[in-house]
Amino acid sequence: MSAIEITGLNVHYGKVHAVRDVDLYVDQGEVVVVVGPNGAGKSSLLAALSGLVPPSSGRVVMSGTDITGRPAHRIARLGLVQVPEGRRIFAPLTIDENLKLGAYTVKDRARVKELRGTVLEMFPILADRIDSPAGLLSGGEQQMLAFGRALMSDPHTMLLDEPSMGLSPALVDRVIEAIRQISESGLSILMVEQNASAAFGVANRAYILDQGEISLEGPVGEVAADPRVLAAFLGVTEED
Amino acid sequence: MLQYLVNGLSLGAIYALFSLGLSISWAGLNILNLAHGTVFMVGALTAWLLSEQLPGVPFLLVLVIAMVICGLIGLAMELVVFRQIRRRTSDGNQQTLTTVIATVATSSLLIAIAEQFTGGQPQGLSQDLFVVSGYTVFGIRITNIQIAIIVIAAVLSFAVAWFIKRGRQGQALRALSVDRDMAKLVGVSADRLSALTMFGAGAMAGLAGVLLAVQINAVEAHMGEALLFKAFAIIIIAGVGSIGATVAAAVALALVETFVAAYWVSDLRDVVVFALIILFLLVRPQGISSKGWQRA
Amino acid sequence: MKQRSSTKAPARRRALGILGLGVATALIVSGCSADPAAPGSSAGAGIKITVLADITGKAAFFGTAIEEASKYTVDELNAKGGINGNQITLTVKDTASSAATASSLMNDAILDNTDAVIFGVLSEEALAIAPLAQDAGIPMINVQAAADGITETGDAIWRITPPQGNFYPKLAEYVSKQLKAKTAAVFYVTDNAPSVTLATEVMPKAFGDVGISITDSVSSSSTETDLTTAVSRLLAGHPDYIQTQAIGAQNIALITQLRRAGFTGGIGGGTSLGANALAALSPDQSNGIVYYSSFVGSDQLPYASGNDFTKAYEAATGKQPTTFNAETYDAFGLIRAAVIASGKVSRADIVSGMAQVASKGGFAGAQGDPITFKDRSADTPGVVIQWEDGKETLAPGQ
Ligand SMILES: Nc1ncnc2c1ncn2[C@@H]1O[C@H](COP(=O)(O)OP(=O)(O)OP(=O)(O)O)[C@@H](O)[C@H]1O
Ligand SMILES: [Mg+2]
Repeated sequence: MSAIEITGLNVHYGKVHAVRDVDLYVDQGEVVVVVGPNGAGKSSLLAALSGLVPPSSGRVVMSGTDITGRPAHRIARLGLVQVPEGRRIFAPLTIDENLKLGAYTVKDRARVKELRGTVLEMFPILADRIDSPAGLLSGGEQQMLAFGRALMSDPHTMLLDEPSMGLSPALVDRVIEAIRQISESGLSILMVEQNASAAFGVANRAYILDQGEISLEGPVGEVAADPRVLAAFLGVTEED
Repeated sequence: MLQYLVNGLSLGAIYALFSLGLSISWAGLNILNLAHGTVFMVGALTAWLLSEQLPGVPFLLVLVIAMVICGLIGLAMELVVFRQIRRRTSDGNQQTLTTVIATVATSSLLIAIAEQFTGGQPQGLSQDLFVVSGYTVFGIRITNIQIAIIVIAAVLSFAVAWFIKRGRQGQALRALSVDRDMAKLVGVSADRLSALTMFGAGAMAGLAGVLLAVQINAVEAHMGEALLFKAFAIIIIAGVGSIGATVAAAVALALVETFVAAYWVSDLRDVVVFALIILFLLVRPQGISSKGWQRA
Repeated sequence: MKQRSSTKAPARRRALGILGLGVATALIVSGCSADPAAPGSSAGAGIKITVLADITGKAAFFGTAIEEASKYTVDELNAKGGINGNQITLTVKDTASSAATASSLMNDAILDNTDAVIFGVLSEEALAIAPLAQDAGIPMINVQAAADGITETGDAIWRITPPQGNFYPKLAEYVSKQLKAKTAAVFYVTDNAPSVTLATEVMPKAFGDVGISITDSVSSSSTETDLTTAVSRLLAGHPDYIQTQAIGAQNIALITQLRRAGFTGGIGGGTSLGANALAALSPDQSNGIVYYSSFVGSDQLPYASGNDFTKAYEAATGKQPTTFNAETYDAFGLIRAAVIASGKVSRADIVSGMAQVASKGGFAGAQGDPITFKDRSADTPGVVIQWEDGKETLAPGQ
């Protein structure tokens, strides 16, 4: 059973057709990356998955449960979590409060404590600043907090929207490392990126999304080797 | 001197009870509820109607019924008006503006209904509803209703402050005020929490309405309007959404007003309030509490 | 064109038809009630009087009183053969306490051959419509509407309510002689010009004349709900008597809190105190409170025309007449006296007739015998009213 299985998904904003007939799946424990340029519909795809925008047609099945069109807070309770574009941490709240809100859906207090321990161990920087407002963290630290907040919900599937955006190369490496760690702990991950080279390093399979449509899909090695991808996303031309 | 301190304190307590709900819905839901004063009036009106229709009805029951009715008005506004506005437009400024206009309309509607009941005349509350008795301690006059008002306001202020700071739903509300979509993504039911907040804000306004009605023994369809103006001053001074600062500003404003009225020209109190609003808008537009919990 | 419009919207036409029918019915019904068949109708051409009153809106209480008294008075006058043989056609219109509505109704009255207009009660409306009446030469008699500048509009604009300042000497005498007060304090609202003048000029003078000194004068805006500090200040000088010159809800709050604070001295107020506030208070808090007015529904008044009015009004309506009822009655009385003085019923004749009535020493009415005029405003000394068990009574010693 796939962690996520999308069939014939369409998203419209009024007349804008942002996602067109997308079929996509993420198997249990897999890391899947969707690569596409600005405005390709990557965020829209994730928004439709996590319930922020209702799909105009198509089906989203999560671990065998049809979640198409359910409200976001209900989907969150089923163990699907999103780390959105631009991190969207709760800036005026403290780091601790951000983490607590991450665990909003977890009823078991002991489990929350356990999760908190794991998260702080994975991102020690958060432990150092636990009571300071999240807005004071640097961009990279905020990304760590966004990961930490997502992990606090004890998810089985994580959606990542351009986690490397706006970060220095060193920090991108740190982020990719974190994603690998998270994946190794057993989560299924669907990540969307413009920065293909970074993403390809950690993913098992890749999709290319262009103007709302999947134009290419396959194992990372194959997709990365496609001349079109080389040209468009990896900055490599055939002559090189 | 001490007498005026007591007077100012009980007035501040009413201001605090009234302002808290307004501040929370403003900060948490971005709803500037200009009908808050009218909901307050409905609380007073409910107490008057109940005591007229059911002589001898216990005061606590009246208090609870008035709070529930006012809470339900807040809830109805959220369900029928605010939620629909949020659905129709995603433009934040548009939402804010439409919401404010809708609250003005709601307010006029409630006042018109209230005037049907009161006949456009001020009405006195039945004295049996709550027997007010006064005490003189060290030459200071204080009534049991004043004591009740101060105690209730103090307890509720602490409860609300704790709820917002530490409570699970309170934290969720703060998250909602920062980023509504993100709050949904962590599992907060934004609709349910908004409904809960509007109910709570309405109930607190209703509570304040009943208490003030008992203290002044008068109910009138427009009685909430002056208070709304004071509450704006308090929120501007305190900063939107900061509970502790709101209570402090409520008491401070009441004391300033009381002392202006007592030792200076008494009708200048509103002028002083206005001057304070303008001063704060110029010098410190974010209010005394820089750590307002909503927009960073 | 014609055909197209007739096939266009039958549903709407039907709706309009129903509406039209409704309007027609309403007109017939109101026509019936406003034009009572008078036995033995006379030779006169008839006189058309329009009453514009605040029947709804914030001054509804007063407007309703004016409407009731108008109907009573017209019935009474028509039953006696009308005014100089002219049956009265009465039209009552609701201004909804709004100056805009009042203006449009005044324009209607000007166009529909109304001979005289009686208006009550808000000053802001009177200020808007008095110039219209003056320009059209239509006599307009104001009930209440106390602001300055209304009767000054011109010779057609009159006021049947005496200025409140007139009443203060009687009140002061009562407070001094009957309540034996030596000191007094006053509470007033600052956003109402008449109340400021009364509290800061008229009252100190009238009370000073009878030897009562003012301990404190405390003011507030009329929207203020917190009167605890005002109460503390009023009581600080331990006055024997407290006068309130406030509006309804504040009067209730003030009196309640004064009594709760243990104040046992006399409390008094202005004309609308009884109607506005005392009825809402419990008897133990309101009994004995006094206030001045131009009239009280008593049959112990020192002039027969007032007692006659009280008895006749009570007999006809079953209700004790209020100040506002009496003033409305006297507004009709002034028109009647003017028609008799001039002998004719045109607008100009009534205007000149009113001037003749004033110059010849007035006429006998509910508020006095005679009701005299000064600058086109009634000029009677008024009475002191004492509230007892939910009723207005004539305070003793008058
Ligand atoms: N709320 C919205 N209302 C209307 N149109 C939208 C909305 N959100 C996105 N769009 C449009 O839908 C299309 C896809 O947008 P989307 O944000 O999904 O792209 P993206 O691949 O995430 O781009 P980026 O790399 O810039 O984040 C774009 O044309 C965008 O303008
Ligand atoms: Mg995007």
